[in-house]
Amino acid sequence: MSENKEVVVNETSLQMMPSSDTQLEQTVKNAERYIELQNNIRRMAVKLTNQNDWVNQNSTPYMEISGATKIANTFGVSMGDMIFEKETIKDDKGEYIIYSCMALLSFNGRSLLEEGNSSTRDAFFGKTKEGFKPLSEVDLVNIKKKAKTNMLNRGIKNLLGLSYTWDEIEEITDNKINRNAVTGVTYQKGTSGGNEDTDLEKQQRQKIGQMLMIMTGDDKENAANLLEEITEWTTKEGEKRKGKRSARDISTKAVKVAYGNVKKRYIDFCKKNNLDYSEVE
Amino acid sequence: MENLVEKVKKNIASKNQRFPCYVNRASSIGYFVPELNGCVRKGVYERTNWQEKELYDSNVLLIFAEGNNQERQVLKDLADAGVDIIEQQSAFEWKEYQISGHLDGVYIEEGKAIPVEIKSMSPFIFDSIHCFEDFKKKPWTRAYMAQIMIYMLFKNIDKGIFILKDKSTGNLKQIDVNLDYELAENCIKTAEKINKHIKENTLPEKIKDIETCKDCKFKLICCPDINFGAPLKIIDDPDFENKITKSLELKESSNEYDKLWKSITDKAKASVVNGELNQLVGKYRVYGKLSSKGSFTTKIDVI
Repeated sequence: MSENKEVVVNETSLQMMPSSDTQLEQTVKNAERYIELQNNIRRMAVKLTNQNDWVNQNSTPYMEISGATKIANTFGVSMGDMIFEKETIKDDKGEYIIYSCMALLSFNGRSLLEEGNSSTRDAFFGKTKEGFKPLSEVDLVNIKKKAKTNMLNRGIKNLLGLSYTWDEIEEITDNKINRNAVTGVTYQKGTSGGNEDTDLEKQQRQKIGQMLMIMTGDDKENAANLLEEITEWTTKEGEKRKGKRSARDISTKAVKVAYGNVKKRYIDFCKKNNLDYSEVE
Repeated sequence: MENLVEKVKKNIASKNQRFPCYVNRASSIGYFVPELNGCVRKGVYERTNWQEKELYDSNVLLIFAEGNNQERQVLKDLADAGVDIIEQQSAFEWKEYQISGHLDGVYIEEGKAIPVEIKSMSPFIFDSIHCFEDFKKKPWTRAYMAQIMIYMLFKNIDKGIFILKDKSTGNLKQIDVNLDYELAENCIKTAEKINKHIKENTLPEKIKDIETCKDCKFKLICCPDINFGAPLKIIDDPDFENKITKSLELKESSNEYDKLWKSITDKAKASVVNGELNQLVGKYRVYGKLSSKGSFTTKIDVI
């Protein structure tokens, strides 16, 4: 008779160093079991959604907040310590406001601090056919709400490890959810809304990740720390603002600057370690 | 083809705006009364942070508009039937408790002025309400309870009438209400608490109730801690998993199946926490809820 035990899925259990063959065998078993459990979680999550919860975004499946909320309800995700930050920024097009929402999301003993942003230049709430709405005409409550929605949507997926290909989704749901049936969204290159990446920005974002991983010897935590350090900035009022821990979280507008700074650091690193950096030059 | 419905929705949404709120509204107090699972903090926000309240979407606004139309129709039907409802939509203000509201109407019986409140609702809710106690089932129906208590107290009468209308069939139902002294007192106490917090510029403690917090229009400033549901327990129990696999392979109503299924449901029922079971056992999701009568149905989904 097997022992009935509750499993707390976390990655630290996989990092234990085995000191004997028996332990090694156990570690491998644990790893296999962990992968199986993680796979079951991913399968179950998709099965809780329907095709209205997905969009086909540039040929990649994107789960909407409606789907993420269904999953959070069933998995019993909890959310705490939610805070908002408001930042007013000026550029050549005028003044606009960015809201950031941060909260701690938890599931099965694992927690994640997540962030979501939205600005008064949001394509839906902050724009008309003629261009950006004046700040006085933008409902800030909607912008705050969207920042929270973005935080929650991203956080639930990151916490549970929910990123999929269309092939996976179609297999899990027996084609009930498929790429041809869901709404498609294609972003044009160089969109004027300022919310979506151009191809160049996408490449830069990807390169940032690659350079960080090389500099930190493929250590994700250290890579996040390094990015946070490099992207930290100071407001006009002299207040320090925390940097981003993931290249994905850098706003479209800031990607170019972040890329430049990471590249500078990377070239220094390569020079110091006699590595080739011609690829990024 | 032009989307005509979208035009109606846009028109309704364009009229959607926030209004200053300087009093406790009788129709809202029920959402703040702790004894009705309400939140006093929300009552304070309604008055101090009304500018930051999330707006309703156009679908909800359509429901409100439909409710107002139904109410007018019921008053007309009552008038056609010779029922004299006076003081229709009369505003009142109870300064002592900073409460204001609008009575749908008053019916005079044996010289007594009885407040009449008209509510339209979905067939499901309509069919579930047979007496005043039945209003306890939903947050908005609990708010109706508080609303009529306030009217009865204000009118200094121990009777009230609800006229309910089924939005789908047009069916009507009357629920006679007697003054519930305890509930009425709780409503007044809640108004007093809100007034005190506003006077002292303080905020009541946050509550922790997913049902109340998830739809609250002030959650962006209150920032409540939320548990989205009963936590999914991940169970590593190959024996239990095998039993489930076998039971699914067997034909229902065979002896072996019955035995196996009983052992599965017994085990599932024994694992219920706070009336709920939510487990991931290998490739199965095992879940269910304990009913108010103590019965439990085990549900299994193959992942």
